Amino acid sequence: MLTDITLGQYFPIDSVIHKIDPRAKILFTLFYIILVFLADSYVTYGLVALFSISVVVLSKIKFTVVLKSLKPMLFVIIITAVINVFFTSGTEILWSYKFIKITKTGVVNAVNMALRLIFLVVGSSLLTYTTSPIMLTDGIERLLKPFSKIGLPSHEIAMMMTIALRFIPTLLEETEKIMTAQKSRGADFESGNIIKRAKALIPVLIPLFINSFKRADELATAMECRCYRGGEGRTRLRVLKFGIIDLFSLIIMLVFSILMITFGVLNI
Amino acid sequence: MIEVKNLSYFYEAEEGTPEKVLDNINLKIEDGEFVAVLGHNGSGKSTFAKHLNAILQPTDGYIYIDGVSTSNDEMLWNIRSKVGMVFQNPDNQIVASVVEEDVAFAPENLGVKPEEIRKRVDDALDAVDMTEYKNHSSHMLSGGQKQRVAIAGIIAMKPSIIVMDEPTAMLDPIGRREVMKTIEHLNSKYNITIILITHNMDEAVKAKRVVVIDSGKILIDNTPKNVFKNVDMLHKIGLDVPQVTMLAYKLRENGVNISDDILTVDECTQEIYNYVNKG
Amino acid sequence: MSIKVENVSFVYGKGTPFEKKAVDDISFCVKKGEFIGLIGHTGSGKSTLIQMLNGLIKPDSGKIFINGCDITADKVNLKEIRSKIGLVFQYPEYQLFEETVYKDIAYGPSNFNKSKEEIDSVINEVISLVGLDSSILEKSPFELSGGQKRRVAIAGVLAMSPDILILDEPTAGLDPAGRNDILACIKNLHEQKGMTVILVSHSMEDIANNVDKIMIVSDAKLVSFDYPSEIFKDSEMLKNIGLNVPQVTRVVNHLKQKGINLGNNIYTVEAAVDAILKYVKEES
Repeated sequence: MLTDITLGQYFPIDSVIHKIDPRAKILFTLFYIILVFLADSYVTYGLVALFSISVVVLSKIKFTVVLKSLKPMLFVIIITAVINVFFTSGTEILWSYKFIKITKTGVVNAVNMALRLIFLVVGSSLLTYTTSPIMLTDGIERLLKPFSKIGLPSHEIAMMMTIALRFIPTLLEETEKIMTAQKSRGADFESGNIIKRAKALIPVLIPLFINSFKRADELATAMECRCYRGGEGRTRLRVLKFGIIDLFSLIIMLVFSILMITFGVLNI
Repeated sequence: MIEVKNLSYFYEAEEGTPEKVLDNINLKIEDGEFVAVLGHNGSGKSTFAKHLNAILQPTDGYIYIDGVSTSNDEMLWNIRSKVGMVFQNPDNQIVASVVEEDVAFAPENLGVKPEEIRKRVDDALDAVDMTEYKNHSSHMLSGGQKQRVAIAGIIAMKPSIIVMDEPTAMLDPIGRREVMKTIEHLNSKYNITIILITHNMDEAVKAKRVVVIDSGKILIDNTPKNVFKNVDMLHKIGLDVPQVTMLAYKLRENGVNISDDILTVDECTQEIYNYVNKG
Repeated sequence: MSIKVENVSFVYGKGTPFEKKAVDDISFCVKKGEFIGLIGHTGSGKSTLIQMLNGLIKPDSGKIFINGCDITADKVNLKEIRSKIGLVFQYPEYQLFEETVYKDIAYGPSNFNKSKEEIDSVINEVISLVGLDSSILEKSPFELSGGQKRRVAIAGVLAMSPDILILDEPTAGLDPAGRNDILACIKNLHEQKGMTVILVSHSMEDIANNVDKIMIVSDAKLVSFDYPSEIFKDSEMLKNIGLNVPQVTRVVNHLKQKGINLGNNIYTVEAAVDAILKYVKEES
């Protein structure tokens, strides 16, 4: 089902990870992504795995949920791995058949890429799982604020993200409803070639667009009624303050970075 | 206090002549009243509602909220925070994914200080009895709960008037009951003026005053009892009366002499009982 | 066309934290030409149940027979079943998508490879069945009023010439006049065309005024399936699952408690008026 997609969903739980300042969490996630690309040995992957698992445990989010976030990405991960296995040239040939060769470098690269992608997805999913969309956009807005001097509409970007995140589940549900309804009028989304299937989606997409415009119009009115007038003079329910948890997480992040750099880059 | 003076509104279509939606409406609503505005779809009742907080501006005439005209641009945000508005589809008025963050939206827009926002959010959620859901995802709530969150989002502006435009039309009976209870509670406990736009007569019965609008004009403006007496006229303009009112009306047509202003099951039972025992 | 449902069950989101029993061991029979009212709260399982009846959801266990044919069997032609059992969803006007009303209504039948002539004649028939003028056919569905849009959507389902019509709250959000129009049109379909109808509604008054039998679903279970007279007798049971009996029935029940017995089977205004007049006459 469409509504089973968990990527980008927030789980309101009371945990240490949830409490970290969203600005810090966004920066940490960016850092983490860079660090994951430094991993290339048992030790470094071990470190990344240890770090990631500890964060999942601390976030109190179930492992099954985290694993589920990999599901939509599975295809990409497999394709990347397969490409690496078959199309990397190397000297040490493990297996060959006519022009197809599998090299040791290829296998290593494939495992590397797959692991990195898995950790990337887990890391970025954890960011959205543990940070409410408003906090996330709040964090982004504040991180982007310095750039608003050079004309970057930081508040507008954040507001658009908030609304997009809010409406994703609603629109998924609506898509499913319309699909079911058209199915009961004999629509067939599952058979035929690509063109036929794309055509079959028209009766779903048109109502979806029309309803979305209607929603947007109503939402705009509702926001006006609630005195929305852009970012100027706006205050926030939550004041972001750098607290003890943030300090701790910063220290842990620093230690993790140093270890990764030591083992990954310097190869000590 | 709301004062509507000679309000007319023309809807300007892209082509063709402008269409008269509201036709010379005059109305005065005192603080703390509970008024139902009744009319069929297309009668102009929603257009009327949108004038009360300056979403629409009159083509002719004036609306004064506590003496301030809604056409006064400088007072726009003051008027919007004083006159809250709740719409039919709760999904299209909730901005944030988490309940309390949505309730905070309006005070944030008004530039209220964070500590004060916190207090307003807590109070508002308490007023609609949704405190235990404050950290829930707004998407996972039932229709009635969503609509109560939408109402809390309005209460957080501390309005003295709330206009509800068919707030129960998309809800199931349980959701309707929840929302109607909340509305009555806001009126009786917080003394908030309620203007309930509806075509549901069972809800209009709960108001203390009913204004019937048809073709952009006010037809009747009276107590529920005196409004629902006019069964023929209400039917003519596409409205219904409660089933018991209809029963009393049909009995009177058949020569049964019972009261003509019955609105509840109990009143109806008592009247028939008295009649039968007398006869 | 008859419907026979045998011990069907369905669980949503198996193995996820949101696992929920939607339909729990439900069995019933609907005879050809019956008008059934289906009542239940949001989340009671009634939506799942009606989607099972035209093969949109396959039950985890149990069987469903439509005219003796088991639609839960493996190699059954679901498309054909869907044309025989018309399903009108809640707010069906949100599914309109074509440029003209004609094209939109034609969507269903053309999915079933009907010829141009067949489609032409069926559209002319259904547009009058839902009480609309054929001049509307060339208009865009998006410029119609709410009530008209809904009737066009219902026509779109009727155009598949179903033998059974299931409607999920067809009057939701409409004003009294729009509601009465739709109900009259459904009643007409049942009476004139002999169609088997299942009407899902929250309004006890609407149900009581129209149907032969009432089906009550609560907490995924079939609580009751009986004639209105039997259902409304047990107002305690209805109250317990959060449903109300029609106002007139409550008046009649209250009068009975006060010693005035008007008889049973009174759940419409007309029936109540007749009963009261008769009682007064007999007393005097």
